[in-house]
Amino acid sequence: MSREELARKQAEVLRALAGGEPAAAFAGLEHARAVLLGKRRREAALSAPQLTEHLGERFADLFREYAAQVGYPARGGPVGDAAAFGRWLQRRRALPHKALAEAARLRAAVGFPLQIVRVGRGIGVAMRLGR
Amino acid sequence: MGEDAEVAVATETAPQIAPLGLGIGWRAPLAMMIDRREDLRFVEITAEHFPGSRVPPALDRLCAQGRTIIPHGISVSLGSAEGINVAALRQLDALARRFHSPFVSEHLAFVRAGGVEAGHLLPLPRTRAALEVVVENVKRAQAILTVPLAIENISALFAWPEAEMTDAAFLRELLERTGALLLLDTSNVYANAANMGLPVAEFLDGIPLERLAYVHVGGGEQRDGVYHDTHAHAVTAEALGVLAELVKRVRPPGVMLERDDHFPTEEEMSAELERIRAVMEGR
Repeated sequence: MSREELARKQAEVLRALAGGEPAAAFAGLEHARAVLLGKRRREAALSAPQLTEHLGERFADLFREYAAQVGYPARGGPVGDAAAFGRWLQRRRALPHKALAEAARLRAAVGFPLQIVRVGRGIGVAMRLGR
Repeated sequence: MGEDAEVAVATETAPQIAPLGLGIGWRAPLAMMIDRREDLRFVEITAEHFPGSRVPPALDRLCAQGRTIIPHGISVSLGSAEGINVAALRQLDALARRFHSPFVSEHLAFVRAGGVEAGHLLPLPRTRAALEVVVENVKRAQAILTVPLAIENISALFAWPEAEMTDAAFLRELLERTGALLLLDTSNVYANAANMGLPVAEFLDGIPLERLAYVHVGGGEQRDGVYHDTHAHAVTAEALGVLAELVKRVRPPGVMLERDDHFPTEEEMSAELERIRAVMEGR
């Protein structure tokens, strides 16, 4: 097997894991999907402790719903994933108020743009929802 | 382990690594406990938790106290046929230089292919062709790093068809051809034994323990007939049994607890650390 052929096979496995496509040659992909979701959730939770605390028991179910819709990001690793989860929550108006500052920090850490906005007599930092 | 159990404890450590002692994976919820417990002589940090190498002051304090910090990566993808993530590797190296780490660690795994990110660690096919790819990737990584590299065994989430080598033989040849060190994850060894019937003793006898840098021990649970290496539960007696088998063969330079979720009380954590220490010391 050449390096190129191995690359094709690795891509086939990842498409099967990420997209639910069948890959009959590989035994155990359903189990692998479940384990990967758990690890992805765990790493995102570690990257966003305030979000984890303020969502409490809702974190797991909300993250599962998010992960079913949004693939693991190409940028930022678990911090990028946590930042994207925060943005997903915000779009659903489900981002806890007390986790706003952390969500902004995570987005800044992976290079997503922020805006300085006037809020009443003061200023605040707003997250752009788009990329 | 029972009080009356006779345990053979190897007296020779892996010759290349200075003793590290008992350690733990650094996580923000555990920071205060780690600060207080000066007997935890080393911590492992996951590089991807600190983008841009922006680390909390707590880690600089630990370093100033003389505790060893080991940067650990999860996104270099040493097993990717498309090649490794050099940016992630440089971040590992930057952290090692900042903290004067004796080495860094990564996994015998791939995490991306064809533009898709897995989000975590996937096994390689145990073929000669895959071995050549990962040997080449590891040598490239070593040429970039300024410290040695330790490579960790992972649990087999799924099975590739047409295996040509055992896990142990693949790992042995990789380490011997590259000169890399070994990070042995005993929980992954246990998971493979429980889920895929891979004998623990046979695996331990087949890998180059003289290259052992340190050891991971983590908790898990049996669910729906499958053992899950969750890092969110107590370390089971069976999983600790793998560490016990290891110390009959070699004295590990360092052993650390991995705990990532559902953090217990400090008392429970301390008890678990003492259980690990007891097995390390053959008690």
